[in-house]
Amino acid sequence: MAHEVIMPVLGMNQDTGIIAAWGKEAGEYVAIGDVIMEVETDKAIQEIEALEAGYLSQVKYEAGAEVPVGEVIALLTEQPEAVSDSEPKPEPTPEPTPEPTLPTPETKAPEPVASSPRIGAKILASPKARRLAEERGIDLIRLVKAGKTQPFRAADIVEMPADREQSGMSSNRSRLCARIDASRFNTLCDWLSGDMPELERVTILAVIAAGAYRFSLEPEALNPFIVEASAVAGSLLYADPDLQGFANLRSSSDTDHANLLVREMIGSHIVSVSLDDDAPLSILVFGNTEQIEFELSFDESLLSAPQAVGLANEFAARLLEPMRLLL
Amino acid sequence: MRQITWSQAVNEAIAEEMRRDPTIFLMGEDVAEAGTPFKVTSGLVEEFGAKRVVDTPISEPGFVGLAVGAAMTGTRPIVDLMFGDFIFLVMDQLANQAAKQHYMSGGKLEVPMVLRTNMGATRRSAAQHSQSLHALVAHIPGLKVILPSTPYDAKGLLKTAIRDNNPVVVFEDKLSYQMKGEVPEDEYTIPLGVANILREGEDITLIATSSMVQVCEAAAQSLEALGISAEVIDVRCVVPLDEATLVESVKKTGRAIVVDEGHQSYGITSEIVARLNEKAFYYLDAPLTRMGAMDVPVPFSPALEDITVPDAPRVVAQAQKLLQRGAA
Repeated sequence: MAHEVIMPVLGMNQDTGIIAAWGKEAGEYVAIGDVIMEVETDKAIQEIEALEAGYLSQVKYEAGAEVPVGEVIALLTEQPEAVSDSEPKPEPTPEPTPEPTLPTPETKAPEPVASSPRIGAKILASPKARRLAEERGIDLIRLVKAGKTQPFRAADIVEMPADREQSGMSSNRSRLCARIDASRFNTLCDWLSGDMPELERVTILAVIAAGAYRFSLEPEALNPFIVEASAVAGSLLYADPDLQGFANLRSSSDTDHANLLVREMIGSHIVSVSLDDDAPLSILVFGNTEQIEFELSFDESLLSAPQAVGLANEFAARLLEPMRLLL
Repeated sequence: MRQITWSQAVNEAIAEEMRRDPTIFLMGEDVAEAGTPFKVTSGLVEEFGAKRVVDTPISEPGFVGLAVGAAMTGTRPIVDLMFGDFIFLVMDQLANQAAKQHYMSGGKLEVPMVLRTNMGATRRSAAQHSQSLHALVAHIPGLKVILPSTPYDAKGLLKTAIRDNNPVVVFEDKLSYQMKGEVPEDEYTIPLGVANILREGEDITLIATSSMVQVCEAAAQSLEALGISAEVIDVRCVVPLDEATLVESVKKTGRAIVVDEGHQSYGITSEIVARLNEKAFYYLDAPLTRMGAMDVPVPFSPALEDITVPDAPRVVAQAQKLLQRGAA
């Protein structure tokens, strides 16, 4: 079967992404984890790894093209270019699109060196302004867009809110990804929903994540520990969900500040996310019925790298052996 | 506190040191009976006699060379060079002899001499008597260079220079000799290599030497009226230079104008700006700027002479420019 390669959502306010460069050529074999392309947003260039293996086929856009998020860019097929139009494609081919390549007119002319495109000319800023921008995670492009006069000075930076407000891509946010077998977790969900049909999968994940947090980090002062469980249907806040038991689980409405955000996207087309969260710590869970992937995203001020690894390992272990932990 | 003139302060410094140490003597053109053209050494010959206050022939290389030898052999000469412009005549004695003896003798020889001379334009003295040549001296390793800006500093720094065991060159602004300032009657000295923060500020640092200190103080007052808070630092001594104080200030304000009366090109201002750039680059919010004398021989025409030297209105204008959007 063929797998779709789509333009991923890399930022909350992102409508389109630019294919900065293709990591593979049409017809080339792509293994899981290979860099299939580089996507440029207004914040950064990110390498996109293949989540499925296959031959890169039906490449619809060339490097430099700006593509709406979620749009199918190419397919990964079992045979090189064997796929014809008869292959099932849920997404209709975008007919009204004028040209396969859509370089944006003014500033983003695709450069000959596709791997390192730069937006516009060099931004003029004082050394102090640059240092402050870096310390505060502010991209100078934002000041350009805000129409500030160059060269930028320290005062221009101080006036800008930090990038955290706009994007999760700020420099002091770190990420950690893991992939695990989904079967035991599926069993747990089936078993729980037998007794409690209204129990959402995301709620189960929130309970497991809260338990993993409490176990691996042994926080001294967290009362209560607020977890936000967010899925397509909406989101709910829970206070100390891991201490309540599934049957008695009550969402809490008198608090609004989550310590941990659990966002569940299993079964969706999303393969990589970098959303903007208020929560200092978030776990994004996606994948399918066979494999669960999750991404732990945290403020470096909150967790050290070893702590984050510990938490991710504990969460993974609990997803792999959920029944044992419940007992 | 009592107010005395610069001339009196320098005179006191020399007299106090000569009383303290009998190996100290004063030498130069017209230092004895005439008391120098600026009346700085008046009265000293009466107190210390013609053997310790020596009028020399008009031969700068001769008496400066003599002073270097005297210093190497156990005395502590204070040499008066009537105009800073004559420094060219004594550069061999100063740069090749005085500055190098301590190094070339493996530290066995010391040259405890002080060369007092002057600098500064706008005295209508024309191009050969108006130069500020301290940068030439500061360029030579082994020579210390001090640039006092007040009677208090002139006295305190000179006393320290006289006690220094190697050559120190003092440049005094020739328009400052009648300047009055507070000078305590009690003895004091000022260490070399310590800058003086005269005024604290947040927006820009004005770094100045010699008479440019007064120019910058006046500029800072005008800037205050414009809502700009300027820090004023008197460098006092360019060798050794109090780099740390200057760097700290510029880290705080993010901007600086360095003002000195030497020619701007290849001068003191360039050197200070370069050091600040190396040590405070990531704190800079505008280009560091120099304001020196124009790169022309000092004109005799008063109208032209005045515009060759930095003044307060131009420092103010430059500061405003840097605060607006930092054009160099």
